[in-house]
Amino acid sequence: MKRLIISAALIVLSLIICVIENIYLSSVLDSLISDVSGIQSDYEQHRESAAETAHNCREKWENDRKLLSVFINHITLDNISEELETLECSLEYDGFEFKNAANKLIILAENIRDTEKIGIIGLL
Amino acid sequence: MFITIIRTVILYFLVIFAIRIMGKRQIGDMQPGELVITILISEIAAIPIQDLSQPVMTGIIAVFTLVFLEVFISVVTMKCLPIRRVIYGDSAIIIKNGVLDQKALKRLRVTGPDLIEVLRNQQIFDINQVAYAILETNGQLSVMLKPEYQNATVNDLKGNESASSMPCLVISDGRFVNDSIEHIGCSKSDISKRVKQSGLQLKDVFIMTCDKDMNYNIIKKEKKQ
Repeated sequence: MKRLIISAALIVLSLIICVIENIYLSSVLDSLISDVSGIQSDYEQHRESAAETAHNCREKWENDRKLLSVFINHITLDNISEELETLECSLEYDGFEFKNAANKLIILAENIRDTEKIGIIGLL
Repeated sequence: MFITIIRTVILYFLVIFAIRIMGKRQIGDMQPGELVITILISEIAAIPIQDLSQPVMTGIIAVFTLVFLEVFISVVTMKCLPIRRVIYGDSAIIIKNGVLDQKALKRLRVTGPDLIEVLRNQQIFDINQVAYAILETNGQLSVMLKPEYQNATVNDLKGNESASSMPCLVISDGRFVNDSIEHIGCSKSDISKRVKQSGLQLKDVFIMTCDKDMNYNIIKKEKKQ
């Protein structure tokens, strides 16, 4: 019975970690997606504000990814970091690359969310 | 490279901890399910060691989940024999009263040479010497020799007769084991009568074995402290 109690405590701990991870991940990804969407809409008229948002977004992501790397595959997180870098750099001079990076970022973020979500895609 | 060393140390202790919680068992004594879980735990623990992009936490949570499932299933199977039968299967009698059950052999996909080989491993070179052979759920073969081929015991030297039939588990943890009762050809009421004769109630019996000659042995449940 002692073993059952210990293992039950471990599984409860694991579940708590999973819930915390899901909440944190959703909030980080939601904020990332909304920031990128904001940058996309500001791109034509308010390029300076878009550049500032992109810079802040990248800095924020670099902070968030430290904790996310405890739960999420590091390569996936690296891909997002790379695309954020490309987004920030291409904003000034290359419209095509900017749009490409913005779309890719949203797709990557949604992919992580789908993988972690309890649903057909995540489960299978 | 240091990360690999640190991860290996973390996962080494995790695996040791997991195995300790699941309980000590030799590989040969494990049920197939337990063996699979043990291999699975070591495989899962190896992933974050080999692939540094994989977070250690995924390994830890997977190992904890497997440990919980293993302990939970073992508690459930301990309390409920039908579930135990579903998960671990039944032991199968392949030689009964000296007669080989060929249907059982086919069902278990055991060939004649396989059986002879296992018997030889147990120093039995003549199948005619075997009274009972049972393929246990962990894959091992248990053999009971015919009385004339069994080694002499102190009991034999005293002139007492040895049991000629195989004792079967008829009560486990206060519950009847129907197949065994059927096998020895008696009824539940016969068994209950023996339990009462011993001054016990069914729920007080931890294990009761009985053979066809109604020679029985009862082990009482220990009282909870």
